[in-house]
Amino acid sequence: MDQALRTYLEQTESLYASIEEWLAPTGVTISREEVEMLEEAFGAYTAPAMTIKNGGGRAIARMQPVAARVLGGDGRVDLTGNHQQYILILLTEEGGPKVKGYLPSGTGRETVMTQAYRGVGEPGWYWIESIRRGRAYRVDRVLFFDLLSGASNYVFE
Amino acid sequence: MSSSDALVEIWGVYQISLDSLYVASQSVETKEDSLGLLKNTLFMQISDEEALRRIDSGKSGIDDYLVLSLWTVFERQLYEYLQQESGRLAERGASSFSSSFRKKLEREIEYWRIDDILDDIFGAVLEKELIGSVKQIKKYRDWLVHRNPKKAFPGNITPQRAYDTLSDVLSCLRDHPDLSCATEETGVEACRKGD
Repeated sequence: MDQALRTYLEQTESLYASIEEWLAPTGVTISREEVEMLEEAFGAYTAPAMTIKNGGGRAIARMQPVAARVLGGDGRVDLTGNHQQYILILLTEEGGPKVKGYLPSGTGRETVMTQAYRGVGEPGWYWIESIRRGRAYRVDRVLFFDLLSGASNYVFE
Repeated sequence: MSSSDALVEIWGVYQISLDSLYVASQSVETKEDSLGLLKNTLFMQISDEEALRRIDSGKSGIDDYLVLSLWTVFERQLYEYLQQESGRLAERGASSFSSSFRKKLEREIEYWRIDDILDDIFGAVLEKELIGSVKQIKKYRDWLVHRNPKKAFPGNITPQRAYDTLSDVLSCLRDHPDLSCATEETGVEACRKGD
């Protein structure tokens, strides 16, 4: 298996493990399944998906794998609910991907490498609030609950 | 801006848009070197395949928008010729009858069907084959606008064909001696009738 695909699958499992830990005290239930994926870079493979259900067993949100390779990221999982969809991006490079930029220099310009997104620190899962602004927020417990509430309109006490 | 100039401008914007999409697709293809160009765009966070699919979809969209834009300008110009001809009636006589007639005509012109205008009026100054081509473009334009599943797909009209045909017609009309905006200098036009 390609190392990039292996990393994506491992990091997805790690994210889901964190989500299960965060949701454990809330009374929601979680079910997991494997979904079929097909990407030009990696061929056919299976990846984990997760459904989050309320106490009555109704699905309120879903974590859906999208791709192990995307432009500007090393994998993508979407958090989808009835109200919103949020894109979570895996960034495996410290500081995130670097892009070539140009700074004025004297009478010309200087090529520099800059961050594709602002706010990226250590590798992990990030949410980019606005593509145009390009600011990334690391997915932690607080952010995840905000996104889950926004996606599903479910109120967590 | 004349309608012919408007068509040229629309065509120019279309060409630039095509080139921009081409540059975008090249940036996706060479992302290792071009990620900086994609930063802060909607291409971030999607796969290469999805990005290229959306670029293709964008190309198809602007092809459609081109035909719609060209037709809007073209149709407006035809109605302006009719209004101008109606104005000529006013120059011929100032009787209350002719004035009433002209006013009624100008009100009703906007409701005339374009196919009838092409056949019954512009058929006097344009070749039948050219009118046929224009009506095909009109049919395609209507299909784009309405996408009526009950109507058969009229057949693809390429952007180039739409631009060439409508430009040719406006060129003919502009130079035709029977139309009020014609100039003294007219070239030999294969589209003109009755010469």
